[in-house]
Amino acid sequence: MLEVTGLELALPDLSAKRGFARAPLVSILRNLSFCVNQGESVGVVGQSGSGKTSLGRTLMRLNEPTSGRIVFDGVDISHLQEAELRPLRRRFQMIFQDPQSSLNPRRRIGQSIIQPLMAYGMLTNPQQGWQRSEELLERVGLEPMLSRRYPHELSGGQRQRVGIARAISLEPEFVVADEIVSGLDVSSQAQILRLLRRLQSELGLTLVFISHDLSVVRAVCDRVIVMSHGEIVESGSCAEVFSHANHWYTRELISAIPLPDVDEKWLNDIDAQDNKVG
Amino acid sequence: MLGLGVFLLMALTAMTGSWLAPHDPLEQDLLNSFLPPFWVAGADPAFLLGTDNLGRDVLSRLIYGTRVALMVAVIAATLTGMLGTTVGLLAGFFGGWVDTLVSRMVDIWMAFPAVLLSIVLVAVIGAGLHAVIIAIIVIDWTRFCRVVRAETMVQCQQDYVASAVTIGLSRRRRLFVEILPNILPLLISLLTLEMGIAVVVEAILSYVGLSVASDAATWGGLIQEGRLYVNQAPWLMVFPIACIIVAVLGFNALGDGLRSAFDPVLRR
Repeated sequence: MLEVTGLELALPDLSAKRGFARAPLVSILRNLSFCVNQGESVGVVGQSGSGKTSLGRTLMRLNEPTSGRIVFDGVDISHLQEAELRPLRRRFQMIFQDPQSSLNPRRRIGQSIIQPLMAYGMLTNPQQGWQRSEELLERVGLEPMLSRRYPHELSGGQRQRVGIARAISLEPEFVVADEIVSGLDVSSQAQILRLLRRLQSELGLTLVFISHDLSVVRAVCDRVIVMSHGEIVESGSCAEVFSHANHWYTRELISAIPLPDVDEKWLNDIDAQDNKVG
Repeated sequence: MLGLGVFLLMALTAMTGSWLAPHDPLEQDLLNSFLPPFWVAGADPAFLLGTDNLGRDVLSRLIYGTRVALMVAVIAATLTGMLGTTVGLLAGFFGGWVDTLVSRMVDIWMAFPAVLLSIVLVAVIGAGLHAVIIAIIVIDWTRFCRVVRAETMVQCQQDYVASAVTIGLSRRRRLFVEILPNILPLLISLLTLEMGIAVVVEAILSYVGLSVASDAATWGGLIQEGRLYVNQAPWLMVFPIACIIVAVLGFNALGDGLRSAFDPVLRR
């Protein structure tokens, strides 16, 4: 589905810019190569500043890579122009880290959710639009009546669900979820993660899940990529990396999980409990 | 509410001025010169706010002056806002050399003393209402430009703009559909602030005799005429100054009121 080879990203460092000289480039991502298979979920972990978010944004082509190739479903998207990208964009979407800033504060929730559909001309009739937005809200476990509200009237967890609804409205095949639970409390985290897993199986999503929290990644992902200073230091299946990490940095990250002995299937347990109660 | 009240009062006065004014503002009555306002002994109830050195009715002149002030305020502020906002949006959104060019131009512009520049401009264009409006636009677009540019840059950093990219919105749509609505509350404040400034600038220019034809009534002109007789007839200056203060305060209050009434984020 997604094949990344030798991906490099360098951005101008404006703080080091002097006078009229061109700002010096800072290397953000260095020689990244990996692939993501159809239907798989891959976790990207690393401390803050390791380039996880830049990687996510580059995969979405919000940044243009300096070199290397990003091949999405057989098409090299690394240097496509905006107009050429447009038809492809509906197939890959992003869920942003901070739902506070990722929703236009002056647009109603319902309008934000169906905006992607409107942009691609898949919806024209406004009445139909409200209906569609209410369906999508229900799909992510929110009250349909929230569609007439504004983002600041919602809680953080609700806003993140809206962000998810907006991302899946186009029924994409590939989704990058960038630290989507890092701003939430533990119980909302679990709910959002379960929602994401449910949607993944319902829609057959391929997922890149970016997080600094290994316990979250372990609960959601099949494979994991560990990043440090813009480079991949380790990658492999979740079970493999967690049981015997090769790189010291990975071991350090694992030992930094507050409760390292937590059962890796904790999310399933919550699901099972819920099913019993329900 | 207060702002809206002042604004409506001004608009009403300006529109019905010729009907509302008890006298012709240019009609001279030398036998009745320097009549005091109504609460002072020796006033003539026919001239509520007194008369000036030529016996012209102060109230009528103030009412006719309102029309000039309001016209300048609305037209000049709107056009200034349109020019400054467009340039500021483009600079903030595109960055790079566009931004450098615009920013340096603004810097140079703001180094000129504003009053001097406006006097020079009006002197070149020729006195008149249109000249006053052009002068205000040419001088004050930088005020909008700077603020709008900075705010646009802030908005561009927000994820909702990146999110608009991922759903394939074009640059134009991103700028006008996503970013512009989010700087609109700021624009409303700036616009009403600029209306107040326009009233003051018009007063300054008519004070130095560069606004509309010198015999027509304007607030600034009234102050200038009243200045000569400030010791015998202080009301000649006090009333137009009070008008200007009320108008400027009213415009500023109008901005705050409009923001809280129409901005969904502020309206909690």
